[in-house]
Amino acid sequence: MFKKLFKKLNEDNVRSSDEYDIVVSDNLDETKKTLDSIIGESDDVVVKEFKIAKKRRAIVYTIDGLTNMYSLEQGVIRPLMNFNDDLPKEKDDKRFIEKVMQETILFTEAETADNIDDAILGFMSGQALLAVDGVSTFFIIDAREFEQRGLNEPPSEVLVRGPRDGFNEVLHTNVMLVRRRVRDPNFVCQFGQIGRRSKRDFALMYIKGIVDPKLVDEMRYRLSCVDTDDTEESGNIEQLVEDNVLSPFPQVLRTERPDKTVSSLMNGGVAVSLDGTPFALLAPVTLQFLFKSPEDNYDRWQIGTLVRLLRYVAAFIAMFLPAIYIAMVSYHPGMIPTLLAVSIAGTREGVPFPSFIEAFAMEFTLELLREAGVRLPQPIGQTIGIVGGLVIGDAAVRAGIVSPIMIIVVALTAISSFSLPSYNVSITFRMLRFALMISAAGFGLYGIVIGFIFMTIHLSSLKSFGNYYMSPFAPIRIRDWADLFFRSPLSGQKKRPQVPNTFDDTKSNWTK
Amino acid sequence: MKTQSSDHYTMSPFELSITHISFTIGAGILTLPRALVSSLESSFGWVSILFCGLIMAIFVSLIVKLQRRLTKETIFDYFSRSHHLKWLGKLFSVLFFLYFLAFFAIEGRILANVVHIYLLDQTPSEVIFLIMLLATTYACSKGVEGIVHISLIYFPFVLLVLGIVVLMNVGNLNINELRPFVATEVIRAFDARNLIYFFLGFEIFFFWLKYVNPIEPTGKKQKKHKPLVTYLLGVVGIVILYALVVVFSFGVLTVEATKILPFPTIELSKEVEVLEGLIERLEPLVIVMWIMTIFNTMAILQFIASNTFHAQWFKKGNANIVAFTFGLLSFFIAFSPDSIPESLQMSDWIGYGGFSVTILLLIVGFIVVKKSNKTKSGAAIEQQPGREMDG
Repeated sequence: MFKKLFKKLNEDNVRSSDEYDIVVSDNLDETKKTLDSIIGESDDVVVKEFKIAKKRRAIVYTIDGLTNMYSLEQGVIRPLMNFNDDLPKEKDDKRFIEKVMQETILFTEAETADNIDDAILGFMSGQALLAVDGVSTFFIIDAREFEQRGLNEPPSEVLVRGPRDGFNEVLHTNVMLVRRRVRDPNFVCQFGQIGRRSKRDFALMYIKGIVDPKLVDEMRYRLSCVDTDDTEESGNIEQLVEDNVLSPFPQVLRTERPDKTVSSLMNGGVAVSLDGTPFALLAPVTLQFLFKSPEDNYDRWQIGTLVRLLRYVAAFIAMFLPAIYIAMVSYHPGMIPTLLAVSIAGTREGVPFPSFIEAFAMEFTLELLREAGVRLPQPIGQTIGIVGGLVIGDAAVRAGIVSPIMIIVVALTAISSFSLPSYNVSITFRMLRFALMISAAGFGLYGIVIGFIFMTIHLSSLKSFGNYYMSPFAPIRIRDWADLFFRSPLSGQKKRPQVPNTFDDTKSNWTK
Repeated sequence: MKTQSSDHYTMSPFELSITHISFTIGAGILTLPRALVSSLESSFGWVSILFCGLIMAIFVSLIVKLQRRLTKETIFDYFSRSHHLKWLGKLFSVLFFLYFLAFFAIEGRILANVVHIYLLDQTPSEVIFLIMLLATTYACSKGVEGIVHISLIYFPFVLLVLGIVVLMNVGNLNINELRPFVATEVIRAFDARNLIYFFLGFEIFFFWLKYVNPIEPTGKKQKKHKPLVTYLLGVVGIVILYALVVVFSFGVLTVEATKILPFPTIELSKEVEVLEGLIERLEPLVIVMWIMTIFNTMAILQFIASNTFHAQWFKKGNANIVAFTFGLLSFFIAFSPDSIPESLQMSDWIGYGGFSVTILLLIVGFIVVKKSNKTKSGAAIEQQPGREMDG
């Protein structure tokens, strides 16, 4: 019985391609039958039959909501219907196609397809499909128009100074945003399709003459190796093309900002933009990029330098502070100045837990609050902040569960971890923080050092698209130090960074 | 060990020089001032350091000279390539394995002891040693580039620690303690037998000179500089760092105190009082940074020993297993002496042993490589055009 049921459930499964009754003929009825068998099941497929010059039958397929019906009608259907010149003879395909393409459809982009695969692919991405009786060629008319989000300021990368536009979910818009900033004919943008079923468009962007050709080849190779049904987001591609799957560090940078993309391209990187997501991927990335924000270059160099130094300190605090607190309180109280030690001991007097449990509980609560705040709608999200800050923080201290110093430590780590330029970077540091806390609980300062050593060992051989992750620290690339902790004045940066490798390394030609 | 990726790895002479410095300055610097005093009984030790530095410089230039004949391979590659010299490679790989094993064990023992005394008095030093072993074995799996990069990352910490210890102690320096600057026992100052241990580390040039490429990987030519000068500057750096530590520990702690203190350099950091109010005691911080340097030295030792041994004896096996065995053996050696003074005594013998092995390899190298150059006229040695090996 179950077998029967199972069989029944599986009856409606996917058709394999040879099940399609594919006939490409010049008889419109047969073509229609073929197309109906492939795409006719969906209800959003709009089929419209009409007659060219009141004589020859034609049929146009569109997908509801993806096509601008008005421009299709004005630009294609109406001219065809008013085709009152001498209509070519029934069998004269070539002349007919020529006439249609060159004399009738003028302002709408159109191309022809001889086989059904090309026709269907174009149709599925929103183009209109025109079949004419007596002609075995399909016309693919690009009258795509669909709803898209405006170019709002990216919520995940807000700048004070800088352009306010951000990528949206439409690939062509994103490429346009980059193209508008780079008018170099060497800027190359290549489209391709990824995903076995979804066939999403992606664009590979680079600037010929700056980028190392090996990097482009490598990226192309890795993208072509992606074989999956659908890449829902560029994050999927990121995970499938990165060098080391086990590493907690991001090996491809993501951004919603066109200006950041352009600056990466200008420094010899490649960018991949995927249709359906505002996040573009930038490769290669090394550790120092995680601390850079486009704003560093927009503001004057003193501000850029100080803010960048601040970020390095923030990363240190976000990773190490709770671990150091645990180590100091439970292993090395002698290192703390006497007065401070006394006050810490005083506040910890009523706390029933060891410092590790205390710190772990508070960090855990913080992560919970953060996650809840992200998921909830905006107005309720603020409530969570109040609940977290007031109720949990203050009440926990009053109840004697945690010490006030612990609250300070947790708050400081939270603020620090969110002051890094992009969100996914702070996740890395937050993850490592927990590992360091555990090792600090076990072995104090020695544990922290061992944790740090393990991290550096991992980083020392990590690569992103052939570039060592720790450069310019190791291997040493002295020139890049001009734009590392210290952001030197732009007039001092005449060369492009050494990592990634570039074809042409002169950025500007300043003569005094 | 990722041999396949290490094959194409190249580093600049500067990077090798920094690796050499971090390799040489290991646990030794913690006890160096005392070793000096115990042999000389006065503050005249700076001459001995200078003298040792000179010897080291000579050896470095000799090894570089030997490497010029070998171009793109190490002396061990050379041994294993020719049929009748295979046994030499095997012999020396065993000698270096044993020497590095003992060296590693001592470094680890000193580290475990320092951590036990100053940081974790409840944790047994065996556990501390084993955790460090875990880290070094993991580091060995990262290949040459991994180890070199680790040295480069940690080098600023070495300078930072020494900077703190030296600069913050300037106020405590008592010049009078350094007198007599030139003592009567001038000849005895050249008796540098128990200082050898602190200056060993130039063996690294035997193994890693082949990775040095003065031309950048991009193919662009670097400015013309002599790699040898860079290496010698590294030697000068070591001498300066050592001399600073010695002068300050004599000047701040007095010669008599240096003689009895177990780890004079750490005691030196105890004297720092500038940061009062922020950090009560500085020495845990200094030790924490020294742990990284000691780790670095240990990782290089373990990597070179196991990698060379692996290449000479079982080329087909897994190199990580050799590294792991090395770690296990070192644990038993490290804890066979009962106390730290006994281990330190051992370090003298390691110094002699290591020195002899190095000299032996150098002599053999000069004899053998020269000879075969005459007979084979270097037919098998490929020299890549455009990529000259200058050292």
